[in-house]
Amino acid sequence: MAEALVDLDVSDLEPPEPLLRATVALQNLPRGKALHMIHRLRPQLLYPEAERLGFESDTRQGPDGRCEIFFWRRDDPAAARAARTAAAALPPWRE
Amino acid sequence: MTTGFAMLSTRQSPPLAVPMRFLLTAPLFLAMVGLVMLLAPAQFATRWNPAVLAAAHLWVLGFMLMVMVGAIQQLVPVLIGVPLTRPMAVSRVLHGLLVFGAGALAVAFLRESAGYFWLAVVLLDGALLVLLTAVLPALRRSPSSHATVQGMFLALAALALTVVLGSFLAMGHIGRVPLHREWTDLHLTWGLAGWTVLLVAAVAWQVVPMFQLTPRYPLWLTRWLGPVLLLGLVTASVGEGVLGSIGAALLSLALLSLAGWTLLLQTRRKRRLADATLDFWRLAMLSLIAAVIGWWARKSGLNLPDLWLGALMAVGFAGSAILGMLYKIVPFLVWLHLTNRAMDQGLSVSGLPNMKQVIPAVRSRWLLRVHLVWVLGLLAIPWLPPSGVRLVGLVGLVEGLLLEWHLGAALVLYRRHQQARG
Repeated sequence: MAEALVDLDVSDLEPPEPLLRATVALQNLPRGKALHMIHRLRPQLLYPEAERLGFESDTRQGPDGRCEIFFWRRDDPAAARAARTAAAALPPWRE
Repeated sequence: MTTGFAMLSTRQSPPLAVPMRFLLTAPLFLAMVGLVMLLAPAQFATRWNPAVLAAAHLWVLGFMLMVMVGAIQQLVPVLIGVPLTRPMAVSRVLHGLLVFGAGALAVAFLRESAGYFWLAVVLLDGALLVLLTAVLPALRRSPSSHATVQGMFLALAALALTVVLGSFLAMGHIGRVPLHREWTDLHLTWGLAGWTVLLVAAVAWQVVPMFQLTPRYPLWLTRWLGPVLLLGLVTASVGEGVLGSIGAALLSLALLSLAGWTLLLQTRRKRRLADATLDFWRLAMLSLIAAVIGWWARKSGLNLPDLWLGALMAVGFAGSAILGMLYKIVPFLVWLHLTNRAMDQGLSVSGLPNMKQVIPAVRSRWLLRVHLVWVLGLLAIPWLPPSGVRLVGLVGLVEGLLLEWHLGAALVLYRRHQQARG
């Protein structure tokens, strides 16, 4: 299932790089794949943009306390399945 | 691979003018503090002299509160996810009330004028009401469970009490009620250790990891710091003897936890690049620790200068933290608004300035040096002759003008790019 995920680790990048890279990655995400983004914090500004681009998301807490977000296109059931399965292995994000 | 970017959402973000009118006004008040010291240096021998009271209020209202109120209007929509109602109108009214309120209070102290005290009370109480009316409903509606929301609630409660106490003291100056000088310490403790620390902490929970590339603050700290600090403040304010000491200990614990964790997180940051923001925050947290040690030293009978605790808290801690945030938030906002505008018009983002071009690193580094001299100069005032105080005032004036230039240049850059692209 992991091959259905595209990983994007922006946790050591300074703003606005995480926002820019995530936006580009979402635009270029192939069908059937979900984006697995890793960041230090919940990327507040990214969610409205992802929604506008037609994505749904699930935000989880990684084992090292980092924020792990899974994005998939609303009309892509294969990507949704892959993202939900991977996300279910992690606890929900806590603020 | 696509090279362009989709439009980044600023649906939550208010127009740039909303925070910027506050951020561009604040340095002028800092320059005015310097001017007062230049013109009346002999008055800085004791804390109760009119020029000292005027300078202190120009700083805390004209500089600190001005930036904090501007920042709240930007951060509530962006960090908490709830836009404020009619942001432009609210910011214009708030800005006017604060500018004239801070100015009127400074004149009231300098002239001991009842009319100006009245005017200041009406304007500043009005500013508080407008701020609470604008921000509290947004905080209540917030879908976020982040500790920043709780922290802002507590900070605003402490601000309200600070303003009420301040208004009462102003009534004392006018002669409407007896002037309780002993309440001044309560007023400034709630303003500096309450409102200021609570707001800086609420913002730090998000801004420090975001801009300084550190790990997150532990959740227990973000949840408990505010309530423990407030409990400590209340207990220290109303309790006597052992109860008062417990309150003081709780308050100190909260302040030291904020400072200690911030310094610790900075040592664990991801990329160890030199950055003036980091040093501004280091100076802020070291000042906070020094202020707590100084407070306990005074409580145990050590004769420390009156001015020290106020200077450490208001300029060393709050001033440094505010400056550190300004040098990140202003370039970020300029970049965000320019990028969105370009995207909105279907134009390329290439050629737009990046954050480091909006305010070059060399400028923030220079301001840090001047600010450090200003803080040390203020701490040295009890031993300085009037000519020395004048010199410290000159440093404050230079710092204010430098900051105004740096922020103003960022806005000029924004306007130039905006006009170039129609």
